[in-house]
Amino acid sequence: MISNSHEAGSMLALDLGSFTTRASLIDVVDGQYRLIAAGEARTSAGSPHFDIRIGAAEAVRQIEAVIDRQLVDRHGTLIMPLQASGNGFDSLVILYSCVPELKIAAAGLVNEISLESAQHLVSGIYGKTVEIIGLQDRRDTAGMVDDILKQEPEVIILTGGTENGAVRSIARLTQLVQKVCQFTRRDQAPEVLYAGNSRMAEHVRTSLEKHTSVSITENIRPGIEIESLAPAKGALAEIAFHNARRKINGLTELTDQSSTLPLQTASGMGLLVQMIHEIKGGSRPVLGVDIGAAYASMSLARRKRSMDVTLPLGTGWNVSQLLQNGKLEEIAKWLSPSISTARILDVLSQKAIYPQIQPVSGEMQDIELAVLRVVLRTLIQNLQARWRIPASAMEPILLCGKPLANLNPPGVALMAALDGLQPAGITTIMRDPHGLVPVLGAAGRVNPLIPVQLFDSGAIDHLATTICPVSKAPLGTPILRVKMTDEAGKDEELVIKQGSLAVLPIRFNQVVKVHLQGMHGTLVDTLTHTSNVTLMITGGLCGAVIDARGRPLILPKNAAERWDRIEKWRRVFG
Amino acid sequence: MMTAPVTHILPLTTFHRTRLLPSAGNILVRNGQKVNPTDIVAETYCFPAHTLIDVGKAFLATSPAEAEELIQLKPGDQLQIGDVIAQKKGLFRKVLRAKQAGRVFSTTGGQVWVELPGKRFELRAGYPGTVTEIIPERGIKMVVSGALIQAAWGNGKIDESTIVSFPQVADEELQPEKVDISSRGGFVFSGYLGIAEVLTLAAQVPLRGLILGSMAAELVPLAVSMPYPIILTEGFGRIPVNRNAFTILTSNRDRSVSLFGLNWDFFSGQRPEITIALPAAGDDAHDTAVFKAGKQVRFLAEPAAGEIGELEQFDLQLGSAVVKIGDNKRVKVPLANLDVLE
Repeated sequence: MISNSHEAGSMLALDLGSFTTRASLIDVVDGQYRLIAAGEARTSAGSPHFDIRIGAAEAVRQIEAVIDRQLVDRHGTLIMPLQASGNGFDSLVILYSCVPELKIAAAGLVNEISLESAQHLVSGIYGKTVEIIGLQDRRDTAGMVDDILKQEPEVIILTGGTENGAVRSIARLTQLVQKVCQFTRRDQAPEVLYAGNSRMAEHVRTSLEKHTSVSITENIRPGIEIESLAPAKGALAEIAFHNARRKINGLTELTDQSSTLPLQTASGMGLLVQMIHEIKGGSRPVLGVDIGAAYASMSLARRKRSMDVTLPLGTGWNVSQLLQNGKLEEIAKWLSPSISTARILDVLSQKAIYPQIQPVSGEMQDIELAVLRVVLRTLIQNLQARWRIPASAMEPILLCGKPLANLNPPGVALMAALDGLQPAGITTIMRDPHGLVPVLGAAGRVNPLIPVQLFDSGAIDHLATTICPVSKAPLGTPILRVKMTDEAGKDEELVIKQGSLAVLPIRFNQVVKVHLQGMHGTLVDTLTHTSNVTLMITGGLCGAVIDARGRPLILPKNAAERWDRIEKWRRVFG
Repeated sequence: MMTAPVTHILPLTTFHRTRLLPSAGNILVRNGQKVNPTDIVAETYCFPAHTLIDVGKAFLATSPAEAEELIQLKPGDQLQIGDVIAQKKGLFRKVLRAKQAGRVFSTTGGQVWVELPGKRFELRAGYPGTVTEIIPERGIKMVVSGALIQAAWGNGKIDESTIVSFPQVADEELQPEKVDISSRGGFVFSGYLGIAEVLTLAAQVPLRGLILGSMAAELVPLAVSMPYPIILTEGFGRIPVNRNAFTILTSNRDRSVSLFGLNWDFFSGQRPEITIALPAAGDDAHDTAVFKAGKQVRFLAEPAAGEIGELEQFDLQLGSAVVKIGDNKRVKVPLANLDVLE
């Protein structure tokens, strides 16, 4: 790994999305890494080009058009390393999300132990578990084999057994996986990732390698209470990338020049979230959320542990998945009663065909915003359930992905995050309008200075510090006393009532000392479980916000009353 | 320069299509053969089931090797019901016979794995054309000449027939009265469908298919379950059939129309299409285009879904465009809400 910024030099990052390909050029300006320019084009993985390089070249040429520097030669090849003429760049990182979900079968011993860890492993990539085989399975062997074959998995994660633990059961599972591979043509056989008891690694390899490709990694569950996902994550990322190369034309050639293994966009975000968490000493959970056209993903770093969830719930191609998952009623709850569910269905079904469609009317904008709230809610609930973690404060929350981070005015993005994620306690909400968060995560593996310097360069928008007190007091009860003291020493006080939403009068970048005093048992900081907090708040694009609407946020049952309240909340942000 | 999404709505063209099996199988046509949309061009057997016969357990063998000696089959053998799988001779004679027909896959470890026949999958041509290349075990490539209308959505079915009922106007809603015995065996063409009853009625008559401009999205589950193809040229909501498609369909009365109703697939590029085979061969359809003033574009959504106009101005940075519709009307629209008609 290159650790010196001058050695690493300039970097081109390509984020190959399912709909958009984004190119970002990062270079040193006045001794600091900065985003120099970015370009964007339609992803060309599918029809009519069937070659990912065409969209990538188009995005890079957009950068060339705004800076006086050639990055691609006349043959369409990236110019690397940097030339004496000033053309080109020194390193290349690639992220991708333009892939169909990887179909994964998990075979392990105990549902709550190794199989749970296998599911955790899958939740970090654009993949889905299509079949689970465990010791408690009541199906006969042939039935299990056929059920796996029917799902046509591309990868089988074979796990189980703590270190120095069970071996016979793993041998049985290996036999079963061997049969699955034998019944499949060699070129279509699922790749096997073994992440179980290391004593069985050689047995697994020799039993399976004549039928398929086998990767051996460290045990993901070395002890009953110990989960160790990092090495297996790396191995699965490699398998996922090799799989993507087979499906996406031009990806192999494009990534030949890459300075590091291309990462899935969700993984890039996960790396940056983890990095911020570590830089902050691991005391506060950090959350990243990325919503794209095909996938929605979330990464949480908490107590030095990295937790992810990735769902095929993008707001473009995969918006119909929301409808299939019975989320139509939830979407309708965020909309005017004058918009029928039939109309919502029409709009979203059309969007699933043409994901590029931009809303023109207020009605369409409202529908898209309602979808975002439901996707965010679904993600956070899924994360909490899958990793068995309670709702807690996060610091900060990063909003990524064009449908979410590019909402304008910025108050709309903030409102969607508050409604969907429903953070509790004190949180900073930031948005990534340039699609840099996953890039910085990946760039950090080549040069750790890049994420550190660019994150604080202003390329990531600070939307607001949000204070979400937790109180059981009835609606309308005063629950929070706020005293603000500005740089000039001028004081201002206000009282917040349960059920209200308020923007504090703090200008962008203005630093204000704020004292918060919870009343009637109100908790202000959910991490430290304190009711009295004094902190310095820097105003974001939306100032600072107090969201005292309650957790969980309960909307009125009556449709007219509900819409009236949503409209009122919307007016808070102008 | 910015690559634009392209849709073909052409009165006469020549285009190439590849039809592939989901897994390796047999090709049933030859190179140069003319095919109709419903012709089966290849077949395969999907997801064969397997049975495991544990000879060791059945004969209480003391080791896998002992069990293997009792097995009377070898891998690749065809097995009929009643065939002997394993037997023990002597005083305690015992015979294990097959209860299902299949093919012996393996006989190791005293266990016999038998592969049972899978479900037959038939690959239809989908288009009226000529086979130009055989892709061994996987499928065919073909060339098609005629009118082509690329559509927005299909319900997964394929068929061919003639259109027996036309709408008066491009946004005409299909009413149950229009689906009667006189349209039996043919395609009904209309602007919009919002009544579920029409779908079930069409199955009862039966119609061979529906060509619509648009449909209420809440009808999708029912539409998908219908045995005949349904194709939407524009998509969901109340959107009229675009002018070009309307003209092509109404000016080719009595000609055989093929509906390829398989859904749009981002990775393969497959999309629902309507083809009218014509005796003449047109120019090859161009699959790529860039936004350029003067190009014919179609509105995919608001503010004029289904309308076709001429791209007058556009700004790639702002992502906006001005489209001239007819002689006088000018509409400002996000560039993203347009596709180029080539």
